[in-house]
Parts: sequence; structure tokens; C-alpha cells
Amino acid sequence: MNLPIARRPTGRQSGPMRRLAAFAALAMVATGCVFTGGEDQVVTDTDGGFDEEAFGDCIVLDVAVSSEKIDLMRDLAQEFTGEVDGTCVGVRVQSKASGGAATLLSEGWDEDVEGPRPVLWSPASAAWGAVVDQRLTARGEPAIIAESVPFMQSPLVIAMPQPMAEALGYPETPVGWSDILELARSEAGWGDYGHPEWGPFRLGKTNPNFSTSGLSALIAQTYAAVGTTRDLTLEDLRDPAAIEYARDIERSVVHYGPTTLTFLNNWYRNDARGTALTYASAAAVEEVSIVQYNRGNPDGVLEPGEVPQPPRVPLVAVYPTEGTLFSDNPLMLLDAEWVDEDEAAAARLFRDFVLLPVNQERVLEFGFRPGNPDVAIGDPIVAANGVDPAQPQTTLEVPDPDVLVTLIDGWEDTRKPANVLLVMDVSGSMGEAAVPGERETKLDLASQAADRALEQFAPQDRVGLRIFTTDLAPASDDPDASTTYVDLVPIEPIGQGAEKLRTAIRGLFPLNGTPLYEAALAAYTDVLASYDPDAINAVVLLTDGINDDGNLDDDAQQLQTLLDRLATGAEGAQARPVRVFTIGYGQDADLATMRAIAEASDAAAYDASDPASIDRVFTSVISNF
Amino acid sequence: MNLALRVGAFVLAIGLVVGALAIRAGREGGELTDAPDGGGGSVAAQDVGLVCPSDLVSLCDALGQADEELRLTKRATAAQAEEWTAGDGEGAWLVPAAWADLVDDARSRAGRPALVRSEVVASTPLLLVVWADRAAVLGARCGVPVTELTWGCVGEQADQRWPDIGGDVRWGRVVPGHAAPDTTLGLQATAAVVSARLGTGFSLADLREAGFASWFRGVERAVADFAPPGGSHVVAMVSRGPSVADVAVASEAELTRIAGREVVFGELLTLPAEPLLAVELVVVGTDADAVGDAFDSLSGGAARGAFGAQGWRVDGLAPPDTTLDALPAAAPSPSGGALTAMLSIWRELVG
Repeated sequence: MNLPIARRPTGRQSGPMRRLAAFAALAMVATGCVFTGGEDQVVTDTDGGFDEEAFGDCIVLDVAVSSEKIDLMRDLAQEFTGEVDGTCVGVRVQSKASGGAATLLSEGWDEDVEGPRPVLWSPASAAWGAVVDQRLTARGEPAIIAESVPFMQSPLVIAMPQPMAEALGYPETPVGWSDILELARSEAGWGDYGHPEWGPFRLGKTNPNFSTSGLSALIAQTYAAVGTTRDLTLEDLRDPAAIEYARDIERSVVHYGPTTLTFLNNWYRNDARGTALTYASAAAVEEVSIVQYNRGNPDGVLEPGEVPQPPRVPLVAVYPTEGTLFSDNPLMLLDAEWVDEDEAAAARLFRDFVLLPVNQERVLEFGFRPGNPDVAIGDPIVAANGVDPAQPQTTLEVPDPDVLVTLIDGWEDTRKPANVLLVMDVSGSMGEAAVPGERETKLDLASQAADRALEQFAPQDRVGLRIFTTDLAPASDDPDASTTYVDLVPIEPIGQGAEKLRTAIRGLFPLNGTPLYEAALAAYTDVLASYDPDAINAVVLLTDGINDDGNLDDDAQQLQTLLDRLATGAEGAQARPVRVFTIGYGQDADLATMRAIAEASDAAAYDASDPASIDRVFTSVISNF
Repeated sequence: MNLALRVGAFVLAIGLVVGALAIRAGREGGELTDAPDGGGGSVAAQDVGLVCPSDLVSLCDALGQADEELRLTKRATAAQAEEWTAGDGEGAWLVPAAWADLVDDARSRAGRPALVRSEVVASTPLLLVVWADRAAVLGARCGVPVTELTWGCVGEQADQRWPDIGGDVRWGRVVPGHAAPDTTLGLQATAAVVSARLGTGFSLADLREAGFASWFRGVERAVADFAPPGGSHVVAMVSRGPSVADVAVASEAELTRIAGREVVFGELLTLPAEPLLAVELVVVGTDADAVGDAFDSLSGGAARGAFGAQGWRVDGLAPPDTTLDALPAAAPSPSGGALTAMLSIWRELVG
């Protein structure tokens, strides 16, 4: 291969990196996701304006909560007054994604980076507490989850566009994971139910390493495979039939990712175009997401002036026949070395305060079920919002911690493989300092992040690396060979190509302009040409600037052509979707355009405008596979 | 099994129970002392007047507000029992008579005198609550009218798949519920389940009998949660639906917490399953004066009103307003020794 550019060694050594460490990085994402609000997200927000001076002589109670309840919890923290032995208590609440916080608590919590270690922790599900304790005790360290009570609840459901659920006979006919499996295995897909125009069955499901919904869905489908509702065992996980069951469900997955908001937002946008039924057939989400979606607020956040518009095709909550799990948003008091008796007492006072009926009624406003059973379920948990307060009829037991951890680890082997082309901008601006005055360039940080992110891929994944900039020497003698991009590593099984990828990534250096649109279209076209129907086909596109190919005149037309191609390719019953996940990197990135490109392909855009966040953003992006 | 072995097994059982109580006491942490005005929001140590079960917090708070002279300390019943099994504590303790029986049994074997015990200050019968649609299936399965369902029948069906016994596939498996026997109400609630199979006069030998052990294991392993949200199965069932439990033990007092609540999940039946056991609250202690003072306080008009408002039956006051007609007389409680053995067996099963 005639490479057009020389490679220079960076001198950096990338040692083996454990996957968990990558997930720990996720917890630190400050601006990692374009989307906001709603489900437990990949967002860290430190103290939310906690007034240090006002509570200078008080006991400061540090609370870490998953993002879906951060606003409510901060409101309650401000309203709370309490004393421990005559000393006032101030409550400082920070947002931490559940999976990320679980990793930090079990692997090490650096307060300089992550903010204060919590005394009270509220992830989206108690299962995360079990994961923490299991990881600690497996290393011979003491467990730290001392007391746990549910704050608010939302059951995992299978969200389906109403016509699709009705085609399955819902609500009269019970629907569960076995029906999902049958659809996933069917060559005819919805044709088996008289709707060939809906194409194959497509499932939205998040990454269980990051997302509570994803973790709950993994547990639920495993119970369904085994045919029980509790006492899941390691032996069950080794059952070939259960493994086959999991593989067959996973093969219908659209893509994964850290949050269900990607699915909900894409569904909502497709609904506006009238293509909701061919974007996805179902998604494993929390009940609260359906309430918010059907209210016309899929991400749970209303921007100033935003008027919610209910979708044309509402979603309904299918409560799986085999049973389901609640995200119980527990308030967990930690029995850790950094927690003293006064802080623990303060935590109990605050916990009791937020469980008061008057405060519990407020969780209903957000679409959750109250954690305090003395507060009745009511609006908006009503049929008009696509949910059924009388469901679920059966709940599933959270597996023992060792089973849970084994289940998560084993998912890597059963999940749908990926067919991915990493496309990196090596334009001249990538050579600018990532932080003014510092030596490392944006490209240095991006390369290091990409290098580390490779650890997240599984052996069955196929990954390639392409760079783009203007005025490259052609990669071959072909007169049509591109001068704007070149494949440093072709798409191939990562087991074969990992070292080549690493070597190539470490050798990147900045060059010329930014032919963004041409590079994006070419990448999309090439992945489509090698489309694998049994894999998640995707492009990961990183750029730090706007389209700059030396010709401003055709920019608008180029962009429109790109967006049209992406949208057309994603639509229709027989679509062969190639998702283009975009990363807007650095202050000069054109985030609006990056979002448009991602949305046109029903993928997601990621905001790494702070170069220091690129490591976490890469981790988040790769969690889609 | 010869007598020596039985005695050995029984002594072992006692040890296991005491150990279990100690473990639970440690898990539940220290005591919470309320100011005389019952005001929350602060934690401060004060003198102990009457120890009140920490899992009956609403009742304790109401009693504290009813009598400002009463200094209440909330404490886990198991922890208090463990302390007074091992030695003599101070003050008085408001506790179900069954727990007092269990402590007296242990004290007598240790050569200590029984606790001074007051008359019953309040009581509440233990009932069987069940979703009406499930009750119909269980009744048909057991060949009895719905109104005659017992824990004996329920226990036979525990953990079976509902569609296998004539129910809806969406109901999953038959899930019973009762509070753990190392909680204030749970001891008698578990005894109610056991007595449905063995009668209230059961012994350690009965509990060890293979047929019963298998039945009891099936029931207990089918219980999804011994400590449901809100500390009450029936409250959790009303607020969260049948996924909590299909059928559960509930005290009449607990039912007052859900009085007037709309139940969106279906009709919930309340049945006085035979044998009907009741939780009877007494005041105990080693100091007769302390017991007498506390009893006087709890027998006063304000305290009696507080018991009544919390759904407890008090002599001379009308019973709580429930949907039940007149209840049959409560059966005698199992003996303290039998309850000790039951706790031990339960610990072995549940771990």
C-alpha cells in the first residue's frame, strides 16, 4: 500500500487498559452528549451551585445521584433543614451516571477529578449497589452499601409504537421477551404479522455496562431464556439455549449506546417524518420515558419556549409477560472509610426528608412512581400516556452479585457485532494546542482517546481507520483515487487489526483542510458497500472544524446531498442503515452540522467541545457497539 | 431422633436464633431517641422511658405525642430481645406478647426470672389479603370457597406457575408474602403461616417433620421480599400492585394505612384465615415500677386514642373501621419455645 503520508512516532506507550477503567472515564463526561435530560445519562455535574460559605460550619452531606433526578434532588436539598447534635447540615448534590459511579466507587474515586465522594448514593437501580459490593468483595475489600431504600420507581418496559404492539395482540394478548425472540428470529419479520411494510424487527437496547435500562433488559431477557423469575445461577448463564436466546435477541438490535434517549429522540424525529415504524420496532426503556415521549417531550427537558408536541404514533408500554425489574432509584448510605458518624446521621435525616409524602408526590410530576408506598400512584401514570399503573404483574429478582457481574461480562460475547469505520480529521487545526499553553495538541488527545477506546471492541467486531484532510497524495495509481481521505487500516476483525490500528492511530499528525462533507459521504458509502446484515454498521466521524475543502460555493449542496443520502438510506422497510455517529471536537466544531449528520442517519452526535473530554466521549461513542 | 439429640438440636437452635438476632440487631444499627415532643429532624441521646419497636414508627410517634411525660426510644425488637435474653435491661419495653414469650423462654433456660408483664394494651388480628382474581384460582385449586382460603392451601401452591394452576400467564408465579419473623409483627405473622399447617400447638419435632419442612421451605423460598417498601406487604401491594405479592399476611392495623386508597390493580380481599392469630402488645421489663408506669401511660385516654387511630384494637373502643364482619376469637399463640424453634428453622431456610 502506497501510504500518502509519513508517520511519526509519538513516543507514547499504550499499555493494556481494562474495560472497567474505560467505563470509569465515562462517569467524568461533562459535555459528552449532545442530548440532555431524561434517563440516567452520561453526565457529571459537580455541586450545582452549592453555597460553601452558607454551610461553612455545617456538616456537608455529599450526595451523588443519577441524572434523571438531579433537579428534583437539588430542589429538595435546598428545602431541607436538619441538625445532628446541634450542628446544621448542608446537602451538596452532584450528578453521576449510575454505571460510572459504580465503577468509581469500586475502582477508586479521585476527588480532584470527580468531586467529593458521596455519603449517600442514588443510582437508578439497586443492582448497581450489588455490582459495587461484588467488585469490592472479590478483591477482599469490605462491601460499602449499608442501608438502601427506594426513592422513586419506574419499571423496565418494552416500548413499542402502538400499531406494532396491537399487531402482536396487545393489550389483550400477553406479550413478552419470547415474542421479541420470535420476531428477531423471523426472516419475514413483521410480515409474519401481516405488515411486511414494517420490515424486519428492529430493537433498541442500551449498553448494560452504562445504562440501567440496558442492564435491566439484559437481566430480564436472561430470566426469560431460563424460564424463571428468581435465583438466576451461573449455571443458567452457561446454558447453551440461554446463550442462543440472547444472541438471537441481540441480532435484532439497531445499536447500543449509553442512554435510551438516542432511541427516543430518533423515534420522535422519525415520527415527524412518518417513518417511526421503520426506525425501530421496540426499545427497552423505563416506563417514565414513555410518559415523557407521549407528552411530546422525549428527552424529559423542555427548553425555554419549547412547546411539547405529542407524537403522531404514540408508544405503549409492554410489560413483559415473563416479568420485569424496577429501577428503584435507591438512596444508599455508604459504609465507607470516608463516611463518619455525623455524616451518616445527616444522611439518614435527609433520606427521611425526601421520603416524606409531600416530597414523594413530586416524583409523580416527573413520571416516576413514588418510592414511599404511602403515596398513591396517579397521573401521569395513566393509560392515556401509554402506560398501565396496574402493571407489572410480576417482578424479577435482581440476581446475586456474582451472577450479575458474570452476566454483564458475558454480554460482550453475545451482543451484536459491529462493522465500524473510524474516520478522523487530521486537518491542520488538529495540531493546535488542546489547552492553550499546553504542549499536547488536539490530535494528540484524540489519538490517545481513540487508542484507549479500542479496548471496548470485542473480538467479533470489525473496525477500520480512515483519516481525512485536503490534498492528500492518492493512495493508488487509480486516477479516481481520493485525495481527501485514505484508509490507514481497512475494516477487518479487530482481533487481526488491533495492533495495526494502534500503530496507525499513534502515527497521526495534522495536515491541511477539512473536507468534512466529502469525507463523511465517502465513509458512509464505503461502509454501505461492505454492509453486514448481522452487524451494527456505522461510521464514527471526528472533526474539530467546519467543512473547509477550499471551495465555499458548493458547501450547501454538498451538505444537502450528504443528508439526503443518509436519510434515504436509513428509511424504509428494507433499509440497510449505516449509522454515522459524530463527534464535534474542540471549540470550533460545527456542532449543529454534526448533529444534523448524525440525526439524518438515526445515530447520535457527541459534543467534545472541551478537548479534555475526548477520552470520555470516545468511550461513550464506542458504547453504541 | 432420641431425646438427647433433640435437646442438643434445640440448644443449637437457640444459639442460632440468638446469633441471628444479634446479626440483625447489628444490621439495624443503633437506637433513635425522640424528644418528648416527638419532633424529628435531630438526633440526640436522651434517657430511656419506654422502648418502642422501631418498625412501628408511626405508632411510636403517636404514643409519644399522646403523652409528653413518656420518653420513647425506638429500637429494633430483635435487638431488644437479644439484650434482654442475655441480661436485665432498664425501663420498660412495648412489645408483642409473642416476643415476650420468646424472651422469657430463653431467660428461663438461662436461669433468669421471667420479665414482668402487663396486661394487653392493644391488639391487632392477623389477616390474609389476596387479590380477588388470584383468590378465585386458589380457591378452585384447593377446593374451598374463597372465603375459606388458608395458608395451608396457599402454601401448597407457592412458587407454582399461575398458568399451571389455572391462572393468567401474566401473573408469573404464586408469590406469598409475610414479614420476616425477626421483626415486630413478623414473628406472629410467620407463626400464622406455620400454624395453618401444624396448628398453634406445634413443637420443634413438628417443625422438623419432613413433610412440613418441605412445605415450609416452598412457602418461604417463594416469598419475594420479606421487607417490602414501607415495611408492609399490604401497603406495598396497594401502592405497587401484584408484583409485590399475590397473597400476604396483614395486620388489621396495617389496613388502616391504606383505608380509602384507590386500588388501581384490582380488588383486594381481606380474609380472617384460620387459625386467626393476633398480635397483642404488652409492656414488659425487669422493674415492676417502670412497667407499671409505662402501662399507666399507655392506658390513658390519649394513648388509647393513639392506638385506635393507628388501627389497633383497645378494650372499650370501637374496632377499626374495616370491611370485615365480626372476627372469630383469636387462637392461642404458639409457645415461646415453639417460636424460638420456628425462628431457627426459618433462618436455616432463608439464610
